[in-house]
Amino acid sequence: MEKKKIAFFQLGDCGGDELEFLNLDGRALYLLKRAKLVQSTLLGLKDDGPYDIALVEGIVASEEDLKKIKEIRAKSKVLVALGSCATLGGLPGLKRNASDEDIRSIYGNVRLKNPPIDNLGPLDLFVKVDYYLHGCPVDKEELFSLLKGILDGLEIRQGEKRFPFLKASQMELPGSVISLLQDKCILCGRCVEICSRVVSAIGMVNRGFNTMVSTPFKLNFDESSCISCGLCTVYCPAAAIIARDDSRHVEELLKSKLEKKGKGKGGGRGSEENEGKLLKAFVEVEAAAAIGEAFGLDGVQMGRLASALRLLGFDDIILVSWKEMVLRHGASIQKEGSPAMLIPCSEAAKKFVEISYPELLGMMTEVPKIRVDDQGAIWIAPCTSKKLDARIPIVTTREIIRLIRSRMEFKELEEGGYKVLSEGLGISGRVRIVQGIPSIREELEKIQGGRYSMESLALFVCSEGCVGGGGQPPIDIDRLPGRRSIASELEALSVKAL
Amino acid sequence: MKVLEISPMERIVGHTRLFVELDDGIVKEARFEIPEDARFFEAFLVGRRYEEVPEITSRICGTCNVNHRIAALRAIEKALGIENSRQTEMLRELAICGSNLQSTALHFFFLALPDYLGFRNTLEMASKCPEEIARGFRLKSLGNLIVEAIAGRAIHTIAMVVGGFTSYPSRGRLIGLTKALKEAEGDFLKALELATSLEFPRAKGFNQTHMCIKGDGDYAYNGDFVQVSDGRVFRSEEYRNFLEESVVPYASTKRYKVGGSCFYVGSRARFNINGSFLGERVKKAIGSLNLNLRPRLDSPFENLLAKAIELLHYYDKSLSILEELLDRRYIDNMIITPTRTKGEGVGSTEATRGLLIHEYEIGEGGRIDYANIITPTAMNSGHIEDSVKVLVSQLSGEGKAHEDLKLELEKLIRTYDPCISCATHAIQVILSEEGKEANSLG
Repeated sequence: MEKKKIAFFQLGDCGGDELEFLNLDGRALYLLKRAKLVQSTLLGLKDDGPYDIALVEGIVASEEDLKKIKEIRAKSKVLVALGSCATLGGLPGLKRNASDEDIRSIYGNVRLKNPPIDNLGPLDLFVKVDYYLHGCPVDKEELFSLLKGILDGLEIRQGEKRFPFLKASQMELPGSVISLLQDKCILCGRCVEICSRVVSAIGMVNRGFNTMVSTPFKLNFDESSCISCGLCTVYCPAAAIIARDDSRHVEELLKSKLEKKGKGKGGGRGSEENEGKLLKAFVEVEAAAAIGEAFGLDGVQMGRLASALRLLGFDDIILVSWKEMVLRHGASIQKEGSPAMLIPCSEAAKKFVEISYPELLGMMTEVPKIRVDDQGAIWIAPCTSKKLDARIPIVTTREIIRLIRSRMEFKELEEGGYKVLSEGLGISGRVRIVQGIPSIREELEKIQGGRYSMESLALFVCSEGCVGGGGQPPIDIDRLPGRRSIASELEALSVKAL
Repeated sequence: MKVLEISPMERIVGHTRLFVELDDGIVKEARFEIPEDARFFEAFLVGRRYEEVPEITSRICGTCNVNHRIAALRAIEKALGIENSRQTEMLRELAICGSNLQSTALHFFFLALPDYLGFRNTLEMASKCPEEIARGFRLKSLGNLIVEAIAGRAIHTIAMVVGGFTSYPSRGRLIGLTKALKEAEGDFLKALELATSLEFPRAKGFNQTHMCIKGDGDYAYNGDFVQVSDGRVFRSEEYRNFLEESVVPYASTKRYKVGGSCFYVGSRARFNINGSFLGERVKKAIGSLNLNLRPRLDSPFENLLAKAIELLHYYDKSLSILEELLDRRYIDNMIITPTRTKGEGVGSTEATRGLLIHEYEIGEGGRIDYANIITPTAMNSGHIEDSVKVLVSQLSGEGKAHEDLKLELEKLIRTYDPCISCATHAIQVILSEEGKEANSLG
């Protein structure tokens, strides 16, 4: 059998990790007998590839590094990130925080020869990494057992005690909305606790050092019983379990608008075309209610939020009440004398019924559609499950707070004007709201047991209502009534406008 | 016109390239280029607490992390008015011996030796001369053993902190080190023997300005005075008055001059200036090997010889420190806390590659206001260019072929043991002229 080709590369760092390989002394020689070292600048070896195992230390800090790491990835079967710089960004990653001004204050008025790129950092920001060996410097025992393991032809899997590192693809439990990054998880169990009150989609699996949070059989979240309500993401203290972040779609939308504007100024035709197209931001009342507290302000802050969104680049800011929309959706379908129906608040409620009470599916209506034909719009929701079926970017309250915080000083904004969504009918008295999965179960079991009620049910999955939804910022339970009263004030505003 | 370009240089720590322009056998230009990324250490040290500085600066370089740590510790201790105990100083010196021992062994056996034994790379040499490679590994791991015992681990050490040590090696461990050193005596002597048997290229007329820490009756590695080969001595605090900084557009390090001349720092400088202070054991060994050592080593190639002698010195020095430590009553858990939180200090020490200077200003709340780090390779790069010019004009006069010339130049640069990781952290930038942006060439 041909010997496997090993290659060492150093991007920007101290070069200590390759030295740790040499510090294996006799065992380094043993490895070099079993494999063929083809590339190492330190030892005077140069090879243009391909490689079986490429060990790369250092961070990707410049365009040159970026070109190099992409080339290395393309030529290697296995790519190992060697040491904390390569796995996490390490000390050289601190450069990331250096603003132009910082640099000028230290080095004077200068031009850097090989300037750092904006998003410099560990290798996996740019390429797929197969194995991570943490440590500054890397632990030589781990390095040895990894290399020996690969040479022995073992496929090294997570959970094997001999190999305390994880394969990259197994470090994430993916899902289209919710995903779990195992390497960030601190096993505090908060997500498991909160999920046990909803659908118990996740739990602790394995024992001892191998304990981890997982869905049954490590299923993808979409295939499991997870309904993407997002409550786990609110309570995770380590941002290990997260909801899909759509704020970059918002940024793209705003950027494309800016670009068009720029072009429009130059040529006559473009401007006409785009002038008519307005960027709209729809804000749910519950989301608007949680904005003030994030910036240390009390009371209704819808005016400021409107100016903030306008500053971001939106033209129309529209306040909507999702609860009203759901109820009205139900009422519009329900005719006099028609049988009782189940109206889901979102895809989450729909998936819950599909999985837990499939025999009641016949009673269920469609999820109310976000009726926005315009592509130039975003929807700010207190909810993550809306992301499951979205035609326009759905941004959670947390994401919009982050966007605003990074761009402006919210407290200093003036109050701005906004519209309210006015359409549809009055509210039907025959639709009753059921809030929280435990209550929904109770009601649905009643129906299963033959005790039909004549009234239709609107199913809202979050126990605390949309105010305490999965896209909202975390809040103390005692402060929730405050948020709720702001929300009802806003709701009154939007209903009055009808 | 001929252009010689060696890129990337191999068998040195980091990446660099050499660019030489020849016109009819005369060197028009020699450029030692350092294209590595800017590393910004001095930038992100600002605003951090002084305790963090040694942790951060040791990450400048994997090979001489101990030296960077000690230079930083010395600078901070001077700034905060800490006077260390004799025991702390001895332990640190021992750590430097260990660190320099592994770094010198790495350079001598793995990086430089293949050139002189006629191999293209270290692996080729490993298959043909397994004895020498095994000896290199033995000496290197001996150095690591010392550093691990004193400072916790071999790379990016832990135990050395401002004002003392967080943990101390047990007596048993010190006795173990003594034993391991004594067992390796043969290896040290063999290395010296090997170095003297090597044939170095004959070339004359190299720049003879050298600089190192002034020895006060000893072959010094730590000290507050710096001596130049012409006899001048200055306090390391005054380095700004002595070192003239200049900027070249093609490298990311600054050039340094003293008295208008580029200078050399490193093993040969130490041997030439402090050689008479070498220990009895070293002198005896040199005597017993019947070496015809001149008191001055003039050619950069002889750096290898100086390194072999220093290997023996590390052996000798470590043994005498260990003897003294074992004789004394051993005190542990003594970390001196600073009496003030503000101040300025310069720390100077000798890494394997030469003089290393750290300077810090500590301001309000023990946070760093200003940091400056001058590394040996930054200081040496001007001297490297000088030597390249000398060598090329002599060799091309002899009518050497292009490829041979390149080989000799690579050899020359490797004798300096340049460390690019270190050098580029320092001043990564090209100063502009009065606000105008200078063009960076590449």
